[in-house]
Amino acid sequence: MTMLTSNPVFGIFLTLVVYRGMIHLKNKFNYPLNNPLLTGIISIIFILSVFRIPYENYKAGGDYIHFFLGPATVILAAPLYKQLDLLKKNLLPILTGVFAGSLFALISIGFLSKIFGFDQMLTASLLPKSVTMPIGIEVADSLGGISSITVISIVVTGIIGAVFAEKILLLFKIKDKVAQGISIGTASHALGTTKAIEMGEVQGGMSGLAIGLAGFFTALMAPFILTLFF
Amino acid sequence: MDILKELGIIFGILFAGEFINGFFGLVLPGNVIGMMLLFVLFLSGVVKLNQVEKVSNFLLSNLTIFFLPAGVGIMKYYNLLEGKILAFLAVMIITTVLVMVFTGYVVQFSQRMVKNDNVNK
Repeated sequence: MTMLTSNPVFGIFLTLVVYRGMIHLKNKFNYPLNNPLLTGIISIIFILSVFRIPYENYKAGGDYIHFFLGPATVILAAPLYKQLDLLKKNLLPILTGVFAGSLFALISIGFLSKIFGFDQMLTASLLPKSVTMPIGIEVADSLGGISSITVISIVVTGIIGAVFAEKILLLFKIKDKVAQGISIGTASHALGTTKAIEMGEVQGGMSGLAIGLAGFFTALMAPFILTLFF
Repeated sequence: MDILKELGIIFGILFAGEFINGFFGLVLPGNVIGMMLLFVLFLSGVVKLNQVEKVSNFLLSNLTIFFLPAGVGIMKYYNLLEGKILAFLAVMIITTVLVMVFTGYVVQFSQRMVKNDNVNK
């Protein structure tokens, strides 16, 4: 079994089959927690654990799928460009929103970490949790955090965004499509953006824009915020 | 436009982004720089939307699956959070909701400010 699963084709096949199955499940029973990303991750972890398949074996194939995040991020310029008029019209509100949101994210994470008694290393790992993974890892490393924890916090944050964004925005009456996209991208990076794209073209484009901007602002401000709390 | 040409354009831009990241040692990763490059190329008309349409439709409509392997990676590292899982989850949920709501309000508020400003002029 181990020999069979160590072939990268195993990880690729498992991911495709499970994800496609979870989309089918979502189309049958549509409620928020039945999110293909969430159910997909849980199912794969479950399958690997039950059959005692080492994570490294899965990762060998998973890496091929993970690789496509590179070109997929580049192409986020397309939905953004389609919203060029809206972008020009809302340039100042967008920049203000992403900047304020990123600053607020850093402060609230630092503050809550302090309350829960997290040490400096853990706090440094969590600070960049709202931004896209390559930036977040870079930031955590430079702050002396543990990048593996950063990866988990970024994924969990993204899942929360992808699963609940629509409900949260509705609940707090954030109705403007530009505002919706910007808040999703700022709070929950590319993973939340999958939800924004689902919600509409405007939301998708704006969320994609916020990924890059929020990453940039966060990288600039994170070192100062960490010294604020430690 | 054929798929190979589309892929060539996208990977060419991604490569340029990675190169700029490495060459200047920037904090922005290559793929985000690539996104900015492609946006500039759209703006200047060097690359047209329909020149990357098929690949971009494929990637964007299936964006979620590319995150699955990273998510499964949780199983390898969650023990680093032993004894702190509940506090960790609390921080995740509270801050994500707060940031989303706060950002949305700031955008909507500044939209109103800008509009009022234009009216006063």
